[in-house]
Amino acid sequence: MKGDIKKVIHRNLWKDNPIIRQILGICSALAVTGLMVNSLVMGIGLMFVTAFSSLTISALRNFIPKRIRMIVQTLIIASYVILVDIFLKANYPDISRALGPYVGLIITNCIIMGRAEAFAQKNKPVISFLDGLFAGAGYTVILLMISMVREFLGFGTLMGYELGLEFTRWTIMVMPPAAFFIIAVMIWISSNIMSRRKKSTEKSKGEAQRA
Amino acid sequence: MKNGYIYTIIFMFVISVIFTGALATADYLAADRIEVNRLLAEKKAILAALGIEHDDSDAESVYEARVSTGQVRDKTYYSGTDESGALSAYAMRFTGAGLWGTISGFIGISADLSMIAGVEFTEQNETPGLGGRITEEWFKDQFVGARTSDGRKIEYGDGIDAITGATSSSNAVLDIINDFIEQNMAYLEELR
Repeated sequence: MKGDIKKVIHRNLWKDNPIIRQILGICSALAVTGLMVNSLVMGIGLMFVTAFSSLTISALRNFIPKRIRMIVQTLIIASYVILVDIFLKANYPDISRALGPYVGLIITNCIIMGRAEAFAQKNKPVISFLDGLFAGAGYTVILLMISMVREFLGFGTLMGYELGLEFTRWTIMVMPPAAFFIIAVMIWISSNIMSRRKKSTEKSKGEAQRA
Repeated sequence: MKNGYIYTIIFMFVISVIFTGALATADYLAADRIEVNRLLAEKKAILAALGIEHDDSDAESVYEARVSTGQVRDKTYYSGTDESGALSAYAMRFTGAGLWGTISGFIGISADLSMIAGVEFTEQNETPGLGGRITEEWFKDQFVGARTSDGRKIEYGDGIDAITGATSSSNAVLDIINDFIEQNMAYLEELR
């Protein structure tokens, strides 16, 4: 069990990271990464939804008829998303306004459905919950990294705090396409590290065999 | 059995009832709070349009003390008073087309109808960081004091700046303000 948890964490945060490895959830990664606060709230919302929808789907997995499983998954996911939306509207109206329609669009985030289909459908509830939670965390971490670059270069602030640096703001960073460039660079770097690691493990394996 | 039609239909029915029931409950419980938030945001916007200073914490009490609502023909207006209790400005709701969606909010006109007392947005969907900057204080404050009585339209230049990189949103706001003046001055004249 402990090894499984470790594997789940490693897989979701790095090896199969939803954004830079699986290229899922890109639409919202472009839309809400203008400011770090928005990314953080969106990320927490997604972590909540993926974790609890995975938990619920996993708990019900032996009862859900195969042919309607996707409809049921969507129903469960949508319910949690609406809960998040209501919660934000009631308690954090300013953030709710800033995120606009994107909270509702968590429903369409492929990561949630992906975890439900690939993991929760076949595994026990607790580990599914953790899988969903860390898939959301993998998404959140990447979103925060993107928004850090965008907010710094586009507004000269971090988390809304003025840094007091004088430079010309990059208008492009404020616009969604900027996230494309940043994600591409991140994918490039991560793929490079991955393939280099793979090569070095193959090499050491080869040497071990020869010896 | 598990893949039979009857089971499938019953399962879907039961799970729908459970989840929609839970959502309806949550919505019902939060409805009052959401409404309170909405009204508070609106009151703050009206205060800002009337040019009445307030903090986030005392907006409610300032509103109670210094704003009153009235009706002129079919339009609702809000009138604000200054510290001494004298009438200082009128405000009315506006709705207009922005670049991406509807922009709505309140515009205040000074009591002698000579100039703008304040502009405040309650809803806008302009590009965050570009057109979305119409909600920044410096932009809204520029319109305060713009003349409304001489029949000329308000234009950029002369101390009012558009937002760089957001020409369409800037122009949309300007059009909304000019249309507002054109359409609503007649109503406000009746109040005098």
